[in-house]
Amino acid sequence: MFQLAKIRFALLLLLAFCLVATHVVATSLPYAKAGLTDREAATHLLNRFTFGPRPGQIDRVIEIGLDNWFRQQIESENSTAGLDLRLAQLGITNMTTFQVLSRHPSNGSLRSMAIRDGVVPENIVDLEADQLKTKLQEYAKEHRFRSQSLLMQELKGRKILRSVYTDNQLVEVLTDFWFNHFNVSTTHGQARPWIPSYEEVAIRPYVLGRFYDMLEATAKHPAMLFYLDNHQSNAEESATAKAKRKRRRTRKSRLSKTSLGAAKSEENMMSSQAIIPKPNKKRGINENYARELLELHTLGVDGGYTQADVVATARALTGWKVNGKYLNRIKKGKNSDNAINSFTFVKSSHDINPKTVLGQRLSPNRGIADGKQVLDIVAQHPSTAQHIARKLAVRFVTESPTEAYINRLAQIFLSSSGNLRQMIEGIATSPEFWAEAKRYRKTKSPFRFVVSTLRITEAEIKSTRQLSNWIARIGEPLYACQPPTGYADTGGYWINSGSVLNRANFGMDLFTGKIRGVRVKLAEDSPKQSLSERIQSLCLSLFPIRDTEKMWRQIGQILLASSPELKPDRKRTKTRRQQTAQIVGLIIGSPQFQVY
Amino acid sequence: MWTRKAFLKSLGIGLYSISIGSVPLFLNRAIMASSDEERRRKTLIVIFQRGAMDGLMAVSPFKDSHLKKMRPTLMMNVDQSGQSLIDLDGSFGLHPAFNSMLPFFINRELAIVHGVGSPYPTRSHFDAQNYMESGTPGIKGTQSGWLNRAVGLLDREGTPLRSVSVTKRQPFATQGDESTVVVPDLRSFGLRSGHQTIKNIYRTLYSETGFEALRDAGQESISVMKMISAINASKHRPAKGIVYPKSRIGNNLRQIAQLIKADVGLEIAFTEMGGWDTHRRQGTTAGSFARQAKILADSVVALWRDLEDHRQNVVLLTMTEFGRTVRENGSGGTDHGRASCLFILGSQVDGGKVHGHIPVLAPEALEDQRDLPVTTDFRSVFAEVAAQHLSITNDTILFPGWSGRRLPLLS
Repeated sequence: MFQLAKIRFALLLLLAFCLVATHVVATSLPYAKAGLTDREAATHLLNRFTFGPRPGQIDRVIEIGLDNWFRQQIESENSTAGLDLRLAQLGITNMTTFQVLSRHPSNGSLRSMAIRDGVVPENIVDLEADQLKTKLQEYAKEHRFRSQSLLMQELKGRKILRSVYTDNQLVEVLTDFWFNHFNVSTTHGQARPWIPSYEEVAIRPYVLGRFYDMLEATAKHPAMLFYLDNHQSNAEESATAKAKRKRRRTRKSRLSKTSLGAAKSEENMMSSQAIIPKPNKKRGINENYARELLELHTLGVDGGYTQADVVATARALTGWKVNGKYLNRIKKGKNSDNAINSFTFVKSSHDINPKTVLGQRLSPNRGIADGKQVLDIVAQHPSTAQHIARKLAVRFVTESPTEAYINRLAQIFLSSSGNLRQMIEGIATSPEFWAEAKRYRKTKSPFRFVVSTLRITEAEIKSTRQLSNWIARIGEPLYACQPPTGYADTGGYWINSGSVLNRANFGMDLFTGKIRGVRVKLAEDSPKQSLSERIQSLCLSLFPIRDTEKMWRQIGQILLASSPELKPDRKRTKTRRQQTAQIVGLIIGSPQFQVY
Repeated sequence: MWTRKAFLKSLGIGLYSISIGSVPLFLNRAIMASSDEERRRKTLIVIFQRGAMDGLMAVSPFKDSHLKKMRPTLMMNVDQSGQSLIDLDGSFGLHPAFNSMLPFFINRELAIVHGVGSPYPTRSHFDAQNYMESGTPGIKGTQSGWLNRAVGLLDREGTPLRSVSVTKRQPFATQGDESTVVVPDLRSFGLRSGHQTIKNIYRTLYSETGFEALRDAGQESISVMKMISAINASKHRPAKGIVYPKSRIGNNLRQIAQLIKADVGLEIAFTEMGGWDTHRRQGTTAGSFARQAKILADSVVALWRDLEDHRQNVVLLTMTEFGRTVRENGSGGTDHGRASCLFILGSQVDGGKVHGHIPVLAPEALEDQRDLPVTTDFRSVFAEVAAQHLSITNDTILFPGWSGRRLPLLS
């Protein structure tokens, strides 16, 4: 009996210990040390790790505890039921990558297919423009094809809906960051239909995982292979396995000493020469991806790589291509990819010669391991750690992080082998992060500006089309950043005379109901409240902890001095509602709301 | 680098701090005039023809027998009918849809440069446009456009409307550290609500905020709004008899002319025109090419006549990302090529000529056996215009990495 009680007690103790242990494992956020109240800290946490607080969310965060809330975000613990319902409306939600590609042919492909199937004559000059259009539309309908512009619309809509409605905000914010880091653009025709998959498969799963894994996934994804031309990059004829076999056959009759010497001098020549690429030839290396890999994705422009490193990297990555078999299945109208991978390594295009990348020698003839080793080398490089640390610091903390801070974060990157979750935890537990609370020194990007507005106003979105248009108008066309650099993360980049006007206009259009497909709550007019009081309460709800007294006083004064129909009165006139809506819109467009 | 602060300090004239309302244009002009005629600003107007204009059809080497062989249905000739190419100099014929521009070729204000293009042989619209706008062919990471760098190299302080893009969105060519105002349409530029109270609230919020960048941008937007509303109010209509074609480009050029005539300090104006990607049914005297060409020509001519009093200060430059194949394809059109031609209009231009060089179009002379080879780097033309018209001589900054020479085109 006594033994049993002892055992039970031991078990209870173990259970208690486990419970305590899991709580202890949760990151402890040092906001009290920074002299912040719960409220101030919660606001800062929401501002930086979500797309903006929803009404009442600050209180909810305090209720469950900041550390707890943060842990829930890291673990993506929140339910997505509501969001999933909204996303189910989009066609792409239930499509596989193969289906997305099959069902959204480009205009050119549609035409080719229609010609192939005899629906449209080969010499299309024979048809009138309208006839051609009608025939193509009918053909598309019959095959359940959808336009690529619809695909793009849904891609953008998916991002907007997720960012506004998901409760697992951190992953969403990080997906936005990492997509931008490994930017691809829908302006590139070949890459375009692959982009919905790119975000889902090559970015999102890794945002709190290992940097190397995301790097490799992007390197192999057709969106990137097309966008930065690595798909077209091929070894120089003389550097292929085929050529080597040929040489061996012809050398059989020569002295072995000579052949060894020849091979060596060839290698020296290739690595020391500043090879000017001949782009766009059917054969030959294309340097684009290799350059951006080093300059943008990993080491950074001042990371210490040379032109020779770029060429060597390009050579190592030859053969990394989009799988022709996969593309063929789409062309032939098959139903599925038959479990074929969209990525393939094409041996015959690979440069088998030895290479030297960033001082490390890569042995010859190792196939795909060549490229993988390069990715490994760059993923672990100290300059990469610095580059990534700086970008994360700029996004989450401050536009001008100190070198010391960047070094500390870079150290986390290196010692954790590129563990991105530990990077975020490192940021959230750093004094620098909390020192920025209440400073409001970061400027909202157009996307963040629109999403934060929709969140704080609890907008109901039925259609995202006009929202995407607005985001583009304010300066950030989604998924269409032309250069591979992605959008910059600084106020100077986003703010100019046109964009501030557009932000104010967005606010006014939103609240006067001019944005089709979106409805926002404008709290009901209370006849007892003066217009001034109304503005005040709106300011308080839009800026939860900030001192907006000056703002609504200024507005109040202007209103008092203005025309009679705006004076506080009891009449709920249409004009007054309109004007109120515009003023609220202006507050959304105010300088105070552009920062966080 | 022009800073907004510097501008606001330097102008000093009460002009831009007049309360929102109308700015009498006579006041505007009086103040500007007092600062000397010869210091009147020069304006460069750039039209980007997006989609790759077929230079060989626009300005055709009509005597070339190879061209005739490779374009069985698209080749055009010079004959007595009004439907054919207009013989410019015995070698080149101008497509008849451009005929409204002929008088300027004859009076030597219009020059053509042929065989112009990029040294980097991409045939991707997106990449090629990017390279032409960044001014750094082959390099993808450039953060600014050449026109933005040009603004930075102009020799004195400018007005908020010194660099304007009459487009829906800001083109890459004007992106960068200097500010460019994007004005899709003069008439609708500004705050949604014209109500004075709204304007006052906006102005107060932006002038009294502690966030410097926002305050500067806000104040600049107010200045721009004032200037533009004054322009709209002044009703600068095109001079009598001038009709701009009903089209986006016509509308855009009309507004650029309006800005120039309003003397707001416009120095760089950018606009664009699509519809040049004639893969199918290109047509000859009629068809998609002819349609676009006529709209462009008539719009340019309307602008040039509208700006009669300002011509000595204005240069207009067209460009397109690349040209089209010498050989026609199986759909009555042409595919992506390499070199094309461009037009330059100005009173100081060495006009009435086709500059540059194109070879006899035998297959071995063609790039990749298919395309008109590039014999003039586009930077040679742009740098020349920037130097001679805008007094920008720092080619190292304007076109980093370029070590070519300017092509003499202006005096």
